[in-house]
Amino acid sequence: MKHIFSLPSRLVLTGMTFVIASLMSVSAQRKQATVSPDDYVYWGSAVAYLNAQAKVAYPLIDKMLEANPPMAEVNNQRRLALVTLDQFLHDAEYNRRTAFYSFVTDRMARATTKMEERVPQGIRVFKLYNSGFVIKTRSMTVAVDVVPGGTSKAILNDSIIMELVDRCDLLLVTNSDSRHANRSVAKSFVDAGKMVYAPAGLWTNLGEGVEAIGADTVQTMTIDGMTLYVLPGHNGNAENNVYVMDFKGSGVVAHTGAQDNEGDWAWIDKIHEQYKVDILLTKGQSIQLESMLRGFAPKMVITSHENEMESGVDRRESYWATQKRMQSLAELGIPNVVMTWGEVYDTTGSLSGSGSSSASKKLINGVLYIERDGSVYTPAGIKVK
Amino acid sequence: MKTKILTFLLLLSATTFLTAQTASENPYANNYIYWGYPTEYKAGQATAAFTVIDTMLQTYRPGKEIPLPRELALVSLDQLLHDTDNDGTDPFYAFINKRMLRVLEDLDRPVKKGLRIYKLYNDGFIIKSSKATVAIDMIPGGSDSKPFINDSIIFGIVGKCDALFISHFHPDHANLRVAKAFAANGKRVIAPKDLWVGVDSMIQPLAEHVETDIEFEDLDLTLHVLPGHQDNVYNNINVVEFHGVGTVAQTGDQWYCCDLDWIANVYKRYDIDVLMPNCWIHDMEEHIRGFAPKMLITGHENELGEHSIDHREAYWITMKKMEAMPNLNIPNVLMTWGEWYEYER
Repeated sequence: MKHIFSLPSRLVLTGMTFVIASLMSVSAQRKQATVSPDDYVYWGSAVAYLNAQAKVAYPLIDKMLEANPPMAEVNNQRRLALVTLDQFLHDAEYNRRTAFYSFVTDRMARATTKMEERVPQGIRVFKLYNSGFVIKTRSMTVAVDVVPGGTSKAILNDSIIMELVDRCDLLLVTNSDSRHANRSVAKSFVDAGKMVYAPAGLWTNLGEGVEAIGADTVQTMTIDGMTLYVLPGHNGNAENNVYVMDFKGSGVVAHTGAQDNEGDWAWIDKIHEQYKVDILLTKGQSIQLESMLRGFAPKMVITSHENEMESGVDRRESYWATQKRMQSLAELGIPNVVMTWGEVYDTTGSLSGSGSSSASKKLINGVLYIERDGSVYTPAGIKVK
Repeated sequence: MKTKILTFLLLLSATTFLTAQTASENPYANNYIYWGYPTEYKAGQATAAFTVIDTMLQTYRPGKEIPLPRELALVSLDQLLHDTDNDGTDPFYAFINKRMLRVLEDLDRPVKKGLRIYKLYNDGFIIKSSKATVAIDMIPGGSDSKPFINDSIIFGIVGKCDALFISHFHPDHANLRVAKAFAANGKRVIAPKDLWVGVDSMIQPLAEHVETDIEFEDLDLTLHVLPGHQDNVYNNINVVEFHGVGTVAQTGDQWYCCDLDWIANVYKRYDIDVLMPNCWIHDMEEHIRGFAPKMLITGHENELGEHSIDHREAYWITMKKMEAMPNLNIPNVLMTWGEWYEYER
């Protein structure tokens, strides 16, 4: 290697570097030494105390979650981490704690880094904020219901959103509610040349990058390595696309969005006859969770919508309540994985025997039906043959 | 006037009725859904949290090192105990009484070697050797009408102790019901000067606030009372010498700058094994160096009741304070209510 400095110059530079490093080290030690027990006195300042407590707790929670990643049989360490997180997220003034934002950002940064890794087989599920997920297979990466969240300040900052856009191939949006749909996120996908599929009427001014999907009947689309079934759900009376994503050979994932319309049970109750869902992504805080699980009969469920920070404390679904609710449904025999923001769950090997669905559209006497495994169904999932 | 009183009573009745109705009407309680019932939600959360915290603390017992699960359990407990919504709630009472019941049961287990130190609520401790069981600053917490630790447990514990030492008269250290229970069982209570004078012959305040040695021949121990202060209040620093086994010192609410002059030399006269300082003591390092103990067990964390949350000293604060004294080299066994630690020289 050719040096651009002469030997004496290099010696001088080396010496200077050493001196500077030594001074920095001494300075750091002095700084360390200046901390005294009296620095941890908060008398008269409850806010400062709570901020400091959050600053201590969030990293510990994070560390514990990293050591105990999502699992179907949750252990006590993970249970402790989640219930502690619930406590901090039910602090009415959570958004005054800077540690909260660092916690989310650090976890999301790790998730987006992990999204760069190849998935050799099966399905890798990333849980984002609220009902947002990223589903990655060996051939594609799909984002669903990605929103930044927050009121006065975004929970997922712009940088994180841009990283997500960069890692994903497309965005699916289930419904127009702001907890599921965000124009700014959609625009970022469109600007990056990636398709956004959303219910009709959303973001018509974003041009051809947004494709309106969903109707009164089942819609079937083929997108790259995925067959997408758009089921005609509703959130109240508003359109809510229930997505069944068949990643050929890797598994089938369904996302129910904000599904809650009573009239849709007629087809949801029997949807399992039509699609063999491996992973159901559905709202945990629902009095109809059991019906949803019975309807889809998935091989496993990952709940969503926990700790929606825009909601009041009583509606901010906690992880502990989801766990309790799932325990009460144990007789269904459907394993559940309670995940928090920025976590990853790999189904590789855990869904043995999972096979992709093989439904296809069939026009009979001018009426659209779905043929699957030798049976014929109405678009609403009613078996007719 | 009568009309006003009547109106007030009617409003009070209506409010009480509505409150009671609200608390029992949540139609989704069985589904763990609490829409419109934030109080019920918080109670559910507290129950879930206290339960798993208790489980983890039982799994990861006190030690000189704090593993991550224990650290998180303590911080989680700090958060619960700094949320005033949980003050005086059923989940809190259930938690503390469950843990104190374990102490009551464990006190039957003999100590073969060394000392077993139990941490009670607030600044209360029990130290048990093979020959004696002494309590220091044991109180039930809460109020006499609704104590944190219920009577059957606290008086059960009294029945298993041989003596009670009180540091000073403040109610977070001295409780007359407890002292009387000791006296009624024929057990001595050593109190600071002027406290409970003439109440019972077994309750013995010091005659003067000076250094005093008291022999307990039947218990094979000597109590050395050092004359400390909390500002102007007499504060006995109780140094309990269990002959041939170990010596512990509890500082009560020591908080007086001028006492540091003599506290700085306590180590020259007493070979302290375990020092139990109040966690918020000023000049903590200087105080600890004065006793030069082999080990610390801090007290007074998470004092509830009238304390505002900024002065409910958290476990994480104690941990940080210990980290801030990197050259001290004296381990602190950080304990919470209802835990114990076996100490051997």
